[in-house]
Order: sequence, then structure tokens, then C-alpha cells
Amino acid sequence: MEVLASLLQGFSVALTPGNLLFCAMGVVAGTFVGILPGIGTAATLAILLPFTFGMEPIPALIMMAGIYYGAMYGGSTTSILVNIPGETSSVVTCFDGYQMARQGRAGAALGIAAIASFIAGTLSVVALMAVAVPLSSFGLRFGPPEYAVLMVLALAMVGLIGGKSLAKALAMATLGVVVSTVGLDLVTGVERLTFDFLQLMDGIEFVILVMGLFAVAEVLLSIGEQSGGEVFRSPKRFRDLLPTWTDMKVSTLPIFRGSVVGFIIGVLPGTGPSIASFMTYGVERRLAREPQRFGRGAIEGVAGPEASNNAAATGALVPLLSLGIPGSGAAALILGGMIITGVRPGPFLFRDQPELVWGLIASMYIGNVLLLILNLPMVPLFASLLRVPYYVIYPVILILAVIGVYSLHETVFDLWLLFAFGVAGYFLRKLDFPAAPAVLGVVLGPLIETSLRQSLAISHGSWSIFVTRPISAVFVVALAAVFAVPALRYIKARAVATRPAS
Amino acid sequence: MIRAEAPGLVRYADCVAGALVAAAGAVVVYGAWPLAFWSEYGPDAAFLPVTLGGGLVLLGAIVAFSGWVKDGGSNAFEAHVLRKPLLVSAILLVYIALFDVAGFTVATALFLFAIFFWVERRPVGRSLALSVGIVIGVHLIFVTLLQTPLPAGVLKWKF
Repeated sequence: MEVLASLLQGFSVALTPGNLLFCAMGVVAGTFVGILPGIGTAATLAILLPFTFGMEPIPALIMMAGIYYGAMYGGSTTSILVNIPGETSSVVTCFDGYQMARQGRAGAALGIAAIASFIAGTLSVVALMAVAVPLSSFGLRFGPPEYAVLMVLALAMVGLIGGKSLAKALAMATLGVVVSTVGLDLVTGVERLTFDFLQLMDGIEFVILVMGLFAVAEVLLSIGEQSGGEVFRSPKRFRDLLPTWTDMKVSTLPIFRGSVVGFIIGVLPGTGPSIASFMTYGVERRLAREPQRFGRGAIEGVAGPEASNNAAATGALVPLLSLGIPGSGAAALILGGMIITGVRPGPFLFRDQPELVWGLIASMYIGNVLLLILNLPMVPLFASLLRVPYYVIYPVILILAVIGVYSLHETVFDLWLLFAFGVAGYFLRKLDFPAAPAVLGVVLGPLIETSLRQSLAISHGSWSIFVTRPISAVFVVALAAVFAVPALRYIKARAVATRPAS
Repeated sequence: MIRAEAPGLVRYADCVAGALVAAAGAVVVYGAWPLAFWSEYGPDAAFLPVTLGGGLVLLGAIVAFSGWVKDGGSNAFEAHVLRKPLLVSAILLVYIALFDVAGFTVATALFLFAIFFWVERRPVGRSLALSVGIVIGVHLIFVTLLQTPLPAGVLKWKF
């Protein structure tokens, strides 16, 4: 009952005309940018985040949530019509979505993607409410040692799962944390790693790193790879976007299964929408009566992964809202945006700022509805954006990044940093260094350092504090397991390789 | 130019990347070295940067070593793949250098024209029309509507 009353309070916040407008703006803008080939959810958030600066916390967060959902939806449209996934989580949608478009069923594919996203989005917000509140109550038991280990664990898990090489992912996470240490030390106030640059005294804004790694590096990567096939025409009429009854019947169970799988995977740090969508696709293929249809335009191959993708995106907000730990790169960006607007997510958020957190949750319901009623009829308009040549789009993305970074402190020095991060990010990403751990590192860095130093101050410098407290000890064991898994895998692979052929 | 068809090129690139990561770690350790590492209350200002810098040196060495022992090759660093990104990076560099001096509007127009004309090889007329059109649109949204503080530069007299 208490949850219901809180949710009603949230709706009273989110349904004010101003907040509703910001939610709609976020959804539409997120879809507009997210639809651009090669621009994923994190890049969309990075590009649009500066628009929320200077806003009041509640409308800023509501708009951010709208952008997040819009970007997810935009990515699927590009996968279906152009066969270019905005990010790995949309790769699966290409398999059958693009085949459907080739068979003249682009409308049904786009329609089922929107419907699946809506159902999964709505169900996972209900699940978020059910899980986040008790988890935040549990989180109230955490002290600095638990937080320090949990945040390091989140970083390590993103490293373990997020990239092809654990060493490269950990190097990126470490670089992210290093960037966060530049500037005045939080405790003693001494200058660190500024190398006598006055402009670095206040540290490096995470937005600059994010814009460099996502907007600039993403553009440089896209223009270097001449990819993309034919852009299929999207249907002009709204009714052509509606899937048939048979489509709906076939897709219903995959949507529900995808929602459950996606949410559970999304909650786990470091996993996120990519693994969820691939896993759901595998499940649906295995359960299908005619698995050979998959990859040739099976509508379940669009419905299930799209549902899973969106449910995982909401699931990733559970650890963020209840514990202050982002589970993915995109969630780290939302955390960064929250910190900029003066909001510190975590267990105290539900207790101290209920109108904000419940307003945000209510806006997720509204965002899902808006996504369906605004975006579905606007699909032809969004699709027409795909016909704008990329050589016109990419300079505009670079200009948006420059404006966003310059508006932070009105200094060209930040633009040099943007350039440096962008070019470095381009080469690093070409060499399979993943970007998400760096973003997570730069956002979590100050929180890790504060918790670590507080913990060791409590214990007078003794590291035993991390293993003598039960919850912290469990996290330490989990952390050890994260590092042990790849080591064991390596040893096993070596043993297989050296085994005699007989 | 790095040619990737040569066997072991990515191995070479990974070695260079690993070395650079390790070098970045060494710079971090060097930068934080003069600060206090440990105080009576626990870790001091240098603790995290020095530890992380050491970690980067180690991780860089691992990347370089694993790059050395693995086989493989890709076209990731062929000249035709790198040409456009490097050209755009160079134009972006000039754009940033001109940003304060020439002002947002002029620098942006020049940046766009350079991209359309030199990188994308579009005709002069179309490049010019696109540049002016986009600059007007961006100016209307950011300067007029959102009042984003952007440098006026040589057009200062107008404002």
C-alpha cells in the first residue's frame, strides 16, 4: 500500500504539464539521436546530457529517463531499416528485423518492436518498484567498506563481461578512475595530477570523457567503416505499422519471456541489454517449433530480444537507484547526470527524496506510453532521417559535442581535452579497448576513493575491515571469484591446448 | 602507415597500445609521487593515483605480452580505413583552435565547409549552401533559443 501511495505521489509530480513536456522532449530527442546509424544509447545520452544542465533535478531526471528510453527505441528502428545496429544490444534485432524489412514487412517489425518495448518497459518498471525498495532498505545497512568493495566489484564485472579482453577492460576502468582523481584531493585539498595546468584544478568533468569516447570516437569509427546497406522504406500509414493478430499471437510469449530474462540480467552489474537480447534470442530459437525460421524474418526474433533489451535497460536502473551503483555504461551516464544535478542516488534517495525518485519511476511509465503513442505514428518521420546522408549528420554530431563541452566552463581547454579523449578513444576502441568501463570508472572513481578512505580511517588503516564485516566479506569473495573465473578459464584452455592429440 | 595484412600486425598494434597504457601509468605514478601516500588516518592523496598508476603499468604489460603471443590480423589499421578519420580529426583540431579566436559561428561554418568540400568531395556550391544552412540552424537553436554562451569572436561587434 505504501508503494502504491508513493507511486501516486510520483504520478502527481510527473504529470505536471512541465514535467510531461520534458518527458516527451526526452523521448522524441532520444529517438531522433538514437536512430542515427552508429550512435548507441550511451552516445545518445552523452550528446543530449548537456541539455539537462541547469535544469531543476526532477525535470532533468525525467528528461534523462525519456532520452534513455527513446534512444533504446531509436536503435531498433535503425537495425530494422538499415541493418546497422547502434550498439551490440541491437545486433540481434538486425537478424530477423532486417530480413522482415527485405520481405516488405518493415511495418510489422517496427510495430512489434514498439509494442514489445512498451510491454517490457511497463512490466520491468513494476518489477523495479518491487525490487528497488527492499534493496534500498537492505542498502541502508551498508557502510563505507561495503560500498567501496561493491563499487570495485561493479567495475570488475563490467570489465569481465563487457570486453573481449579482461586486461583491456580493466585498463579502461583504471584509466577512468585515474581521470576522476585529477584535480584537488577530496580530503586534503592538495592538487593531484594537474601537471601545473590551472584548468585541471577543478578536475575533469566526466561529460568531456564521455563525449570524447562516445560522440567523437564513435563518429571517427563510423566514418572509417563504409558500412550500411539499402535503407528500406518504412510504411507511410499508421495502420501498416500494426502487426497482424497472428503476429501478436506468435509474439506474446516471447515478449513476456524476454521481459523476465531481460530484467533479471539487467539487474546484475556488468551484464546489461546486450547479453539479455542475445540470451533471449537463443531461448526463443530453442523453444521455437521451426527454429530454421530464425534469421529469415521470424517476428519472434524481433519481439523477444526487443522486450529483453528494454527490460534490461530498466533493470540496470535497480542497482543505480537503490544502491547508487550503475550496472552499465548508460546507467553510469545517468548517475553522472544525477550527480551534476545535485542528486546522489542510493538507499537514502528513497528515504530522503521520495518525490524525486517516485516522480522518476512514474515518468518511466509515462515515458513508455509516450514512446508508443508519439513514436509509432512518427516512425515514417524518424525513418526519413535515415535518408539524410551520413556526411551531413556526422559533422553536426561533432558540433553538438563541441557545444556541449564548451558550455560546461566556457573554456577552449575543455575542447582540447575532448579532442584528446576522442582521438585516443578512437584508437583504443579500434584495438578492442571497451569504452563503458572507462565511463563507469570516471563516475565511480570519487565514490570509490571516498568510501575506501573512510573505511580505512574507521579501521585506523587496517585492511581487515573489508573481510570482518559480513556483507563486505561476501562482496570480497565475489570480487575474488570475478578474477578467478578468467584465470581458471585460461588454465583450462592451456590444458586443452597442450593435451596430446590422442 | 601500418599495414594489417602483414601477419602479426594487430599483435604489433596491441604491443604499442600496451606500452602506451603502461607509459600512461608511469606518468600517473610520477605525477602523484611527491604527494603523501599514507597518513595516520589511512590512505593519503597519492594512494589511489600511485596504486592505479602501478596497476596501469601491469595491465599495459599484460596487453602487450598477450598481443605478442597471439596470432591474428585485421584491416583495422589500413591506410584507406584511417584516411578519413585522421582528416576529420585534423579539421576538428583546427576548428577548436579557431573556436575562441574566430568565434563559434565563423569557426563552425569553416569546419562544415572543410568537411563537405575536402573530406566528402562535394561541389563548392552544395558545400557552401549546406554549411550556411546548418550554421544558421545551430545558431538559432543554441544561441538564439537556448542562449548557450558561445564565443562571438570576429562577429563580436554584432552582439
